[in-house]
Amino acid sequence: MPAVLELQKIQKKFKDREVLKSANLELQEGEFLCILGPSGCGKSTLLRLMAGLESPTQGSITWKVEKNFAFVFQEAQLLAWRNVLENTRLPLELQKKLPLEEQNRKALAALEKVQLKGFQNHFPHELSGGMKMRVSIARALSSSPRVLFMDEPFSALDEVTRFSLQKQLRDLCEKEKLSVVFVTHSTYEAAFLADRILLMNTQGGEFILNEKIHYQQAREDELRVSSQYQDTIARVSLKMREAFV
Amino acid sequence: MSRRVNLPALVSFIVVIAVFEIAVRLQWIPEFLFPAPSTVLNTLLENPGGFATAFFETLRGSMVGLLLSIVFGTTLAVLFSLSDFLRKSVLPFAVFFQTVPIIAIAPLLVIYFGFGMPTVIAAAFIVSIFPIIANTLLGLEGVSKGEQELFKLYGATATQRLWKLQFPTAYASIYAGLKVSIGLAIIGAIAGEFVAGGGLGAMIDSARTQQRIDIVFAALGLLSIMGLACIYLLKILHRSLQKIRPYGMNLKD
Repeated sequence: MPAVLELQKIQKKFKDREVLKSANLELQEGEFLCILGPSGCGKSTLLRLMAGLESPTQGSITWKVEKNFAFVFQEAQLLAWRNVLENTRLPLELQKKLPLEEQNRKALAALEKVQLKGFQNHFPHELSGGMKMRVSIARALSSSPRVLFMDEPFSALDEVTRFSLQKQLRDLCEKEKLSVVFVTHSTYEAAFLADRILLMNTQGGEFILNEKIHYQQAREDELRVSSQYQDTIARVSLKMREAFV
Repeated sequence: MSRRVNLPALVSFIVVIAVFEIAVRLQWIPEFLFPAPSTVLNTLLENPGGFATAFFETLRGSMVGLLLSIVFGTTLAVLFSLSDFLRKSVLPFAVFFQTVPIIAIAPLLVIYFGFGMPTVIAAAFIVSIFPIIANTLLGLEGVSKGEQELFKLYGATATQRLWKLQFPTAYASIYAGLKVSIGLAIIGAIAGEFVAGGGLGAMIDSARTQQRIDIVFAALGLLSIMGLACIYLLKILHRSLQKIRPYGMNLKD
Protein backbone atom coordinates (compact mmCIF):
# COMPACT_ATOMS: atom_id res chain seq x y z
CA MET A 1 0.00 0.00 0.00
CA PRO A 2 1.38 3.45 -0.88
CA ALA A 3 1.94 5.97 1.90
CA VAL A 4 -0.46 8.84 2.37
CA LEU A 5 1.41 10.78 4.98
CA GLU A 6 4.93 10.68 6.34
CA LEU A 7 6.31 12.20 9.52
CA GLN A 8 10.05 12.37 9.94
CA LYS A 9 12.00 13.17 13.09
CA ILE A 10 9.23 15.24 14.58
CA GLN A 11 10.17 17.21 17.64
CA LYS A 12 7.63 19.26 19.56
CA LYS A 13 8.41 21.49 22.50
CA PHE A 14 5.93 23.52 24.54
CA LYS A 15 8.22 26.15 26.08
CA ASP A 16 10.86 23.99 27.81
CA ARG A 17 8.79 20.79 27.87
CA GLU A 18 9.69 18.39 25.12
CA VAL A 19 6.56 16.37 24.31
CA LEU A 20 7.89 14.65 21.21
CA LYS A 21 11.59 13.96 20.79
CA SER A 22 11.93 12.39 17.36
CA ALA A 23 8.73 10.76 16.15
CA ASN A 24 8.63 8.93 12.82
CA LEU A 25 5.40 7.65 11.32
CA GLU A 26 3.99 6.58 8.01
CA LEU A 27 0.29 6.25 7.31
CA GLN A 28 -0.65 3.83 4.53
CA GLU A 29 -3.54 4.29 2.15
CA GLY A 30 -6.76 2.75 3.51
CA GLU A 31 -5.09 1.89 6.79
CA PHE A 32 -6.80 2.20 10.18
CA LEU A 33 -3.97 3.24 12.47
CA CYS A 34 -4.52 3.44 16.21
CA ILE A 35 -2.09 5.39 18.35
CA LEU A 36 -2.32 4.05 21.85
CA GLY A 37 -0.72 5.40 24.97
CA PRO A 38 -1.31 6.73 28.48
CA SER A 39 -2.61 10.26 29.09
CA GLY A 40 -0.04 12.96 28.50
CA CYS A 41 2.29 10.84 26.34
CA GLY A 42 1.93 13.17 23.34
CA LYS A 43 -0.39 11.12 21.12
CA SER A 44 -2.94 13.95 20.75
CA THR A 45 -0.11 16.39 20.03
CA LEU A 46 1.11 14.10 17.26
CA LEU A 47 -2.39 14.00 15.76
CA ARG A 48 -2.74 17.79 15.98
CA LEU A 49 0.62 18.16 14.24
CA MET A 50 -0.60 15.97 11.37
CA ALA A 51 -3.74 18.11 11.06
CA GLY A 52 -1.79 21.35 11.15
CA LEU A 53 -3.32 22.52 14.42
CA GLU A 54 0.21 22.68 15.85
CA SER A 55 3.55 23.25 14.15
CA PRO A 56 6.52 20.99 14.81
CA THR A 57 9.57 22.50 16.48
CA GLN A 58 11.68 20.36 14.14
CA GLY A 59 11.12 17.65 11.56
CA SER A 60 8.95 17.31 8.51
CA ILE A 61 5.38 16.28 7.71
CA THR A 62 4.95 15.26 4.10
CA TRP A 63 1.68 14.52 2.34
CA LYS A 64 2.25 11.93 -0.37
CA VAL A 65 -1.19 12.52 -1.84
CA GLU A 66 -3.42 15.58 -2.09
CA LYS A 67 -3.93 16.99 1.40
CA ASN A 68 -7.54 16.17 2.08
CA PHE A 69 -8.46 15.36 5.65
CA ALA A 70 -11.05 15.90 8.36
CA PHE A 71 -10.69 15.96 12.12
CA VAL A 72 -13.01 14.54 14.75
CA PHE A 73 -12.50 16.00 18.21
CA GLN A 74 -12.90 14.35 21.61
CA GLU A 75 -16.12 16.30 22.06
CA ALA A 76 -18.65 16.57 19.25
CA GLN A 77 -18.17 20.39 18.98
CA LEU A 78 -21.59 20.97 17.46
CA LEU A 79 -22.85 24.53 17.23
CA ALA A 80 -25.94 24.70 19.47
CA TRP A 81 -27.80 27.20 17.26
CA ARG A 82 -27.47 25.16 14.07
CA ASN A 83 -29.56 22.10 13.34
CA VAL A 84 -28.06 18.74 12.41
CA LEU A 85 -28.05 19.46 8.68
CA GLU A 86 -26.48 22.90 9.15
CA ASN A 87 -23.84 21.47 11.48
CA THR A 88 -23.05 18.71 9.01
CA ARG A 89 -22.66 21.05 6.04
CA LEU A 90 -20.48 23.53 7.98
CA PRO A 91 -17.16 22.52 6.31
CA LEU A 92 -18.73 22.89 2.85
CA GLU A 93 -20.32 26.19 3.82
CA LEU A 94 -16.99 27.58 5.02
CA GLN A 95 -15.14 26.35 1.96
CA LYS A 96 -17.76 28.01 -0.30
CA LYS A 97 -16.94 25.78 -3.27
CA LEU A 98 -20.41 24.32 -3.80
CA PRO A 99 -23.88 25.86 -4.13
CA LEU A 100 -26.14 25.48 -1.08
CA GLU A 101 -28.27 22.74 -2.67
CA GLU A 102 -25.20 20.63 -3.36
CA GLN A 103 -23.93 21.27 0.19
CA ASN A 104 -27.24 20.03 1.59
CA ARG A 105 -27.22 16.99 -0.67
CA LYS A 106 -23.72 16.02 0.47
CA ALA A 107 -24.57 16.68 4.11
CA LEU A 108 -27.68 14.49 3.87
CA ALA A 109 -25.63 11.73 2.24
CA ALA A 110 -23.10 11.96 5.10
CA LEU A 111 -25.93 11.78 7.66
CA GLU A 112 -27.24 8.68 5.96
CA LYS A 113 -23.81 7.08 6.29
CA VAL A 114 -23.92 7.51 10.07
CA GLN A 115 -27.56 6.36 10.20
CA LEU A 116 -28.98 9.75 11.12
CA LYS A 117 -31.32 10.15 8.20
CA GLY A 118 -34.46 11.90 9.38
CA PHE A 119 -32.71 13.85 12.14
CA GLN A 120 -31.54 16.73 9.94
CA ASN A 121 -33.90 19.28 11.50
CA HIS A 122 -33.08 18.44 15.12
CA PHE A 123 -30.90 20.73 17.20
CA PRO A 124 -27.91 19.37 19.19
CA HIS A 125 -29.69 19.68 22.56
CA GLU A 126 -32.30 17.22 21.29
CA LEU A 127 -29.71 14.50 20.62
CA SER A 128 -28.00 11.89 22.82
CA GLY A 129 -24.21 11.87 23.30
CA GLY A 130 -23.79 9.07 20.76
CA MET A 131 -25.93 10.84 18.17
CA LYS A 132 -23.97 14.06 18.65
CA MET A 133 -20.75 12.17 17.95
CA ARG A 134 -22.31 10.63 14.84
CA VAL A 135 -23.21 14.14 13.61
CA SER A 136 -19.61 15.13 14.28
CA ILE A 137 -18.42 12.18 12.15
CA ALA A 138 -20.96 13.07 9.44
CA ARG A 139 -19.64 16.64 9.45
CA ALA A 140 -16.13 15.27 8.93
CA LEU A 141 -17.34 13.04 6.09
CA SER A 142 -19.32 15.79 4.34
CA SER A 143 -16.20 17.25 2.75
CA SER A 144 -15.29 13.80 1.31
CA PRO A 145 -11.89 13.48 3.01
CA ARG A 146 -9.40 10.74 2.21
CA VAL A 147 -7.85 10.85 5.68
CA LEU A 148 -9.66 11.03 9.00
CA PHE A 149 -7.94 12.15 12.19
CA MET A 150 -9.81 11.17 15.34
CA ASP A 151 -8.84 12.28 18.83
CA GLU A 152 -10.42 9.92 21.40
CA PRO A 153 -13.87 10.56 19.94
CA PHE A 154 -15.68 7.87 21.94
CA SER A 155 -14.03 8.36 25.33
CA ALA A 156 -16.97 10.23 26.87
CA LEU A 157 -19.62 7.74 25.77
CA ASP A 158 -21.17 4.81 27.62
CA GLU A 159 -19.97 1.31 26.75
CA VAL A 160 -22.97 0.19 24.68
CA THR A 161 -22.88 3.35 22.55
CA ARG A 162 -19.10 3.14 22.26
CA PHE A 163 -19.16 -0.47 21.03
CA SER A 164 -21.87 0.33 18.53
CA LEU A 165 -20.04 3.40 17.19
CA GLN A 166 -16.75 1.51 16.95
CA LYS A 167 -18.40 -1.07 14.73
CA GLN A 168 -20.15 1.58 12.61
CA LEU A 169 -16.91 3.52 12.21
CA ARG A 170 -14.92 0.49 11.18
CA ASP A 171 -17.57 -0.49 8.58
CA LEU A 172 -17.75 3.06 7.27
CA CYS A 173 -13.99 3.42 6.90
CA GLU A 174 -13.73 0.11 5.04
CA LYS A 175 -16.58 1.07 2.75
CA GLU A 176 -15.24 4.56 2.05
CA LYS A 177 -11.63 3.33 1.88
CA LEU A 178 -10.57 6.00 4.35
CA SER A 179 -7.15 6.20 5.94
CA VAL A 180 -7.61 6.82 9.65
CA VAL A 181 -5.38 7.91 12.50
CA PHE A 182 -7.30 7.19 15.68
CA VAL A 183 -5.90 8.25 19.05
CA THR A 184 -7.08 6.34 22.11
CA HIS A 185 -5.97 5.22 25.55
CA SER A 186 -8.14 2.11 25.43
CA THR A 187 -6.42 -1.13 24.45
CA TYR A 188 -9.84 -2.74 23.85
CA GLU A 189 -10.81 0.03 21.43
CA ALA A 190 -7.50 -0.08 19.57
CA ALA A 191 -7.59 -3.88 19.31
CA PHE A 192 -11.10 -3.77 17.82
CA LEU A 193 -10.54 -0.94 15.36
CA ALA A 194 -6.94 -1.03 14.22
CA ASP A 195 -5.18 -2.49 11.23
CA ARG A 196 -2.03 -1.39 13.04
CA ILE A 197 -1.38 -0.33 16.62
CA LEU A 198 1.35 2.07 17.59
CA LEU A 199 2.03 2.12 21.32
CA MET A 200 3.59 5.34 22.51
CA ASN A 201 6.03 5.64 25.39
CA THR A 202 5.13 7.85 28.35
CA GLN A 203 7.54 10.55 27.25
CA GLY A 204 9.28 11.64 24.09
CA GLY A 205 6.85 10.19 21.57
CA GLU A 206 8.84 7.03 20.95
CA PHE A 207 6.85 4.02 19.68
CA ILE A 208 7.54 0.92 21.73
CA LEU A 209 5.20 -1.29 19.75
CA ASN A 210 4.28 -1.24 16.07
CA GLU A 211 2.02 -4.19 15.40
CA LYS A 212 -0.22 -5.09 12.50
CA ILE A 213 -3.56 -6.50 13.57
CA HIS A 214 -5.33 -9.08 11.50
CA TYR A 215 -8.30 -11.17 12.51
CA GLN A 216 -9.81 -14.16 10.78
CA GLN A 217 -13.22 -12.98 11.91
CA ALA A 218 -14.97 -9.86 10.66
CA ARG A 219 -14.99 -6.80 12.96
CA GLU A 220 -18.38 -7.61 14.41
CA ASP A 221 -19.52 -7.77 18.03
CA GLU A 222 -18.64 -11.50 18.13
CA LEU A 223 -14.98 -10.56 17.67
CA ARG A 224 -14.92 -9.11 21.19
CA VAL A 225 -15.30 -12.58 22.74
CA SER A 226 -12.91 -14.34 20.36
CA SER A 227 -9.61 -15.70 21.60
CA GLN A 228 -7.71 -13.86 18.84
CA TYR A 229 -9.04 -10.53 20.07
CA GLN A 230 -8.33 -11.42 23.69
CA ASP A 231 -4.80 -12.46 22.74
CA THR A 232 -4.18 -9.14 20.99
CA ILE A 233 -5.35 -7.24 24.07
CA ALA A 234 -3.20 -9.42 26.32
CA ARG A 235 -0.14 -8.87 24.14
CA VAL A 236 -0.55 -5.10 23.94
CA SER A 237 -1.43 -4.82 27.64
CA LEU A 238 1.64 -6.83 28.58
CA LYS A 239 3.81 -4.50 26.53
CA MET A 240 2.17 -1.52 28.26
CA ARG A 241 2.77 -3.01 31.70
CA GLU A 242 6.42 -3.71 30.88
CA ALA A 243 6.89 -0.15 29.70
CA PHE A 244 4.85 1.91 32.14
CA VAL A 245 4.62 0.09 35.46
CA MET B 1 -40.90 29.72 30.41
CA SER B 2 -44.21 30.73 31.87
CA ARG B 3 -46.24 33.39 30.12
CA ARG B 4 -48.61 33.75 33.06
CA VAL B 5 -48.72 36.94 35.11
CA ASN B 6 -46.07 37.08 37.81
CA LEU B 7 -48.56 36.64 40.67
CA PRO B 8 -46.20 37.25 43.65
CA ALA B 9 -45.06 40.56 42.10
CA LEU B 10 -48.65 41.62 41.40
CA VAL B 11 -49.80 40.77 44.93
CA SER B 12 -46.89 42.60 46.58
CA PHE B 13 -47.50 45.64 44.32
CA ILE B 14 -51.19 45.77 45.31
CA VAL B 15 -50.31 45.33 49.00
CA VAL B 16 -47.72 48.15 48.95
CA ILE B 17 -50.10 50.51 47.13
CA ALA B 18 -52.90 49.69 49.58
CA VAL B 19 -50.64 50.19 52.61
CA PHE B 20 -49.51 53.60 51.35
CA GLU B 21 -53.07 54.62 50.49
CA ILE B 22 -54.22 53.74 54.02
CA ALA B 23 -51.13 55.24 55.69
CA VAL B 24 -51.59 58.59 53.91
CA ARG B 25 -55.36 58.70 54.44
CA LEU B 26 -54.93 57.98 58.14
CA GLN B 27 -52.20 60.66 58.15
CA TRP B 28 -49.46 58.31 59.36
CA ILE B 29 -47.36 59.75 56.53
CA PRO B 30 -47.71 63.48 55.70
CA GLU B 31 -49.08 63.99 52.16
CA PHE B 32 -46.44 66.61 51.29
CA LEU B 33 -43.81 63.86 51.62
CA PHE B 34 -45.68 60.99 50.02
CA PRO B 35 -48.92 61.48 48.10
CA ALA B 36 -51.64 58.85 48.27
CA PRO B 37 -51.57 56.53 45.21
CA SER B 38 -55.12 57.68 44.39
CA THR B 39 -53.90 61.32 44.29
CA VAL B 40 -51.10 60.33 41.89
CA LEU B 41 -53.63 58.56 39.68
CA ASN B 42 -55.89 61.64 39.70
CA THR B 43 -52.95 63.85 38.73
CA LEU B 44 -52.26 61.54 35.78
CA LEU B 45 -55.90 61.60 34.71
CA GLU B 46 -56.11 65.42 34.98
CA ASN B 47 -53.46 65.92 32.31
CA PRO B 48 -53.18 62.71 30.29
CA GLY B 49 -52.08 64.50 27.11
CA GLY B 50 -49.23 66.33 28.86
CA PHE B 51 -47.97 63.16 30.52
CA ALA B 52 -48.28 61.15 27.29
CA THR B 53 -46.28 63.75 25.32
CA ALA B 54 -43.57 63.82 27.99
CA PHE B 55 -43.56 60.00 28.18
CA PHE B 56 -43.01 59.57 24.45
CA GLU B 57 -40.39 62.31 24.35
CA THR B 58 -38.35 60.54 27.02
CA LEU B 59 -38.94 57.21 25.33
CA ARG B 60 -37.72 58.61 22.00
CA GLY B 61 -34.61 60.19 23.52
CA SER B 62 -33.66 57.07 25.45
CA MET B 63 -34.32 54.65 22.60
CA VAL B 64 -32.40 56.69 20.02
CA GLY B 65 -29.52 56.90 22.52
CA LEU B 66 -29.75 53.15 23.10
CA LEU B 67 -29.80 52.44 19.37
CA LEU B 68 -26.65 54.52 18.89
CA SER B 69 -25.05 52.63 21.77
CA ILE B 70 -25.90 49.32 20.13
CA VAL B 71 -24.43 50.42 16.78
CA PHE B 72 -21.26 52.02 18.14
CA GLY B 73 -20.85 49.66 21.12
CA THR B 74 -21.08 46.54 18.96
CA THR B 75 -18.74 47.99 16.34
CA LEU B 76 -16.18 48.88 19.01
CA ALA B 77 -16.49 45.44 20.62
CA VAL B 78 -15.82 43.78 17.24
CA LEU B 79 -12.79 46.01 16.65
CA PHE B 80 -11.49 45.30 20.16
CA SER B 81 -11.90 41.56 19.61
CA LEU B 82 -9.89 41.81 16.38
CA SER B 83 -7.07 44.00 17.64
CA ASP B 84 -5.34 43.65 20.96
CA PHE B 85 -3.56 46.96 20.35
CA LEU B 86 -6.83 48.79 19.81
CA ARG B 87 -8.36 47.24 22.89
CA LYS B 88 -5.42 48.21 25.09
CA SER B 89 -5.30 51.75 23.71
CA VAL B 90 -9.02 52.59 23.57
CA LEU B 91 -10.86 50.40 26.10
CA PRO B 92 -9.55 52.26 29.19
CA PHE B 93 -11.17 55.42 27.79
CA ALA B 94 -14.45 53.60 27.23
CA VAL B 95 -14.43 52.85 30.96
CA PHE B 96 -14.74 56.64 31.39
CA PHE B 97 -18.34 56.35 30.24
CA GLN B 98 -19.07 53.90 33.01
CA THR B 99 -17.38 55.74 35.87
CA VAL B 100 -18.23 59.43 35.31
CA PRO B 101 -21.67 60.31 36.76
CA ILE B 102 -23.88 61.49 33.93
CA ILE B 103 -25.36 64.28 36.05
CA ALA B 104 -21.84 65.77 36.33
CA ILE B 105 -21.27 65.92 32.57
CA ALA B 106 -24.84 66.75 31.54
CA PRO B 107 -24.20 70.54 31.75
CA LEU B 108 -21.28 70.07 29.37
CA LEU B 109 -23.57 68.26 26.94
CA VAL B 110 -25.92 71.27 26.89
CA ILE B 111 -22.97 73.46 25.92
CA TYR B 112 -21.98 71.05 23.13
CA PHE B 113 -25.38 70.02 21.82
CA GLY B 114 -27.72 72.79 22.97
CA PHE B 115 -31.10 72.50 24.67
CA GLY B 116 -33.49 69.73 23.62
CA MET B 117 -33.33 66.27 22.14
CA PRO B 118 -29.65 66.07 20.97
CA THR B 119 -28.40 66.48 24.55
CA VAL B 120 -30.93 63.94 25.84
CA ILE B 121 -29.83 61.43 23.20
CA ALA B 122 -26.16 62.08 23.96
CA ALA B 123 -26.73 61.52 27.70
CA ALA B 124 -28.64 58.26 27.06
CA PHE B 125 -25.89 57.13 24.69
CA ILE B 126 -23.02 57.86 27.08
CA VAL B 127 -24.63 56.01 29.97
CA SER B 128 -25.76 52.95 28.01
CA ILE B 129 -22.78 52.22 25.76
CA PHE B 130 -20.38 50.62 28.24
CA PRO B 131 -22.42 47.51 29.15
CA ILE B 132 -22.90 46.90 25.43
CA ILE B 133 -19.18 47.12 24.68
CA ALA B 134 -18.18 45.05 27.72
CA ASN B 135 -20.78 42.30 27.28
CA THR B 136 -20.44 42.01 23.51
CA LEU B 137 -16.65 41.79 23.82
CA LEU B 138 -16.96 39.15 26.54
CA GLY B 139 -19.30 37.13 24.34
CA LEU B 140 -17.23 37.46 21.17
CA GLU B 141 -14.21 36.16 23.07
CA GLY B 142 -16.16 33.38 24.75
CA VAL B 143 -15.74 30.95 21.85
CA SER B 144 -14.31 27.61 23.00
CA LYS B 145 -10.88 26.48 21.82
CA GLY B 146 -12.42 23.45 20.10
CA GLU B 147 -14.85 25.56 18.08
CA GLN B 148 -12.05 27.94 17.10
CA GLU B 149 -9.98 25.01 15.89
CA LEU B 150 -12.92 23.59 13.97
CA PHE B 151 -13.22 26.84 12.03
CA LYS B 152 -9.46 27.00 11.55
CA LEU B 153 -9.37 23.47 10.14
CA TYR B 154 -11.93 24.33 7.49
CA GLY B 155 -10.14 27.54 6.54
CA ALA B 156 -12.83 29.97 7.75
CA THR B 157 -12.21 33.64 7.02
CA ALA B 158 -12.33 36.26 9.81
CA THR B 159 -15.74 37.39 8.56
CA GLN B 160 -17.11 33.84 8.55
CA ARG B 161 -15.77 33.33 12.06
CA LEU B 162 -17.39 36.54 13.23
CA TRP B 163 -20.86 35.90 11.78
CA LYS B 164 -21.10 32.13 11.97
CA LEU B 165 -19.35 31.57 15.30
CA GLN B 166 -18.55 34.60 17.43
CA PHE B 167 -21.85 36.52 17.23
CA PRO B 168 -24.05 33.45 17.81
CA THR B 169 -21.83 32.46 20.75
CA ALA B 170 -22.02 36.02 22.11
CA TYR B 171 -25.83 36.08 22.00
CA ALA B 172 -26.35 35.44 25.73
CA SER B 173 -23.84 38.14 26.73
CA ILE B 174 -25.28 40.65 24.26
CA TYR B 175 -28.77 40.00 25.61
CA ALA B 176 -27.57 40.51 29.19
CA GLY B 177 -25.83 43.77 28.18
CA LEU B 178 -28.97 45.03 26.46
CA LYS B 179 -31.09 44.36 29.53
CA VAL B 180 -28.76 46.52 31.63
CA SER B 181 -28.41 49.21 28.96
CA ILE B 182 -32.16 49.69 28.48
CA GLY B 183 -32.55 50.84 32.08
CA LEU B 184 -29.40 52.96 31.89
CA ALA B 185 -30.55 54.67 28.67
CA ILE B 186 -33.73 55.80 30.42
CA ILE B 187 -31.71 57.08 33.40
CA GLY B 188 -29.39 58.93 30.99
CA ALA B 189 -32.30 60.47 29.11
CA ILE B 190 -33.85 61.74 32.37
CA ALA B 191 -30.51 63.24 33.47
CA GLY B 192 -30.24 64.91 30.05
CA GLU B 193 -33.78 66.28 30.30
CA PHE B 194 -33.03 67.78 33.74
CA VAL B 195 -30.56 70.15 32.08
CA ALA B 196 -31.73 70.28 28.47
CA GLY B 197 -35.49 70.29 28.99
CA GLY B 198 -38.29 68.17 27.58
CA GLY B 199 -39.85 64.85 28.53
CA LEU B 200 -40.56 63.45 31.96
CA GLY B 201 -37.20 64.72 33.25
CA ALA B 202 -38.14 68.36 32.72
CA MET B 203 -41.59 67.63 34.16
CA ILE B 204 -40.04 66.22 37.34
CA ASP B 205 -37.65 69.18 37.59
CA SER B 206 -40.42 71.71 37.15
CA ALA B 207 -42.74 69.91 39.62
CA ARG B 208 -39.92 69.89 42.17
CA THR B 209 -39.66 73.68 42.08
CA GLN B 210 -43.46 73.94 42.55
CA GLN B 211 -43.50 71.38 45.38
CA ARG B 212 -45.88 69.25 43.26
CA ILE B 213 -44.81 65.93 44.67
CA ASP B 214 -47.83 64.20 43.09
CA ILE B 215 -46.53 65.11 39.61
CA VAL B 216 -43.06 63.80 40.55
CA PHE B 217 -44.55 60.48 41.64
CA ALA B 218 -46.78 60.26 38.56
CA ALA B 219 -43.71 60.80 36.34
CA LEU B 220 -41.72 58.22 38.33
CA GLY B 221 -44.55 55.72 37.89
CA LEU B 222 -44.52 56.31 34.14
CA LEU B 223 -40.74 55.86 34.05
CA SER B 224 -41.08 52.50 35.80
CA ILE B 225 -43.70 51.45 33.28
CA MET B 226 -41.40 52.56 30.45
CA GLY B 227 -38.47 50.51 31.79
CA LEU B 228 -40.61 47.43 32.43
CA ALA B 229 -42.27 47.65 29.02
CA CYS B 230 -38.93 47.93 27.23
CA ILE B 231 -37.47 44.95 29.08
CA TYR B 232 -40.64 42.95 28.48
CA LEU B 233 -40.42 43.74 24.77
CA LEU B 234 -36.81 42.55 24.73
CA LYS B 235 -37.87 39.30 26.42
CA ILE B 236 -40.61 38.76 23.83
CA LEU B 237 -38.06 39.29 21.06
CA HIS B 238 -35.69 36.84 22.73
CA ARG B 239 -38.39 34.18 23.13
CA SER B 240 -39.57 34.61 19.54
CA LEU B 241 -36.00 34.19 18.30
CA GLN B 242 -35.50 31.12 20.47
CA LYS B 243 -38.50 29.49 18.86
CA ILE B 244 -36.64 29.64 15.56
CA ARG B 245 -33.14 28.89 16.85
CA PRO B 246 -31.83 27.95 20.31
CA TYR B 247 -29.58 30.99 20.75
CA GLY B 248 -28.38 31.52 24.34
CA MET B 249 -30.06 28.30 25.39
CA ASN B 250 -29.01 28.43 29.02
CA LEU B 251 -30.31 31.95 29.57
CA LYS B 252 -32.67 32.43 32.48
CA ASP B 253 -34.90 35.47 32.56
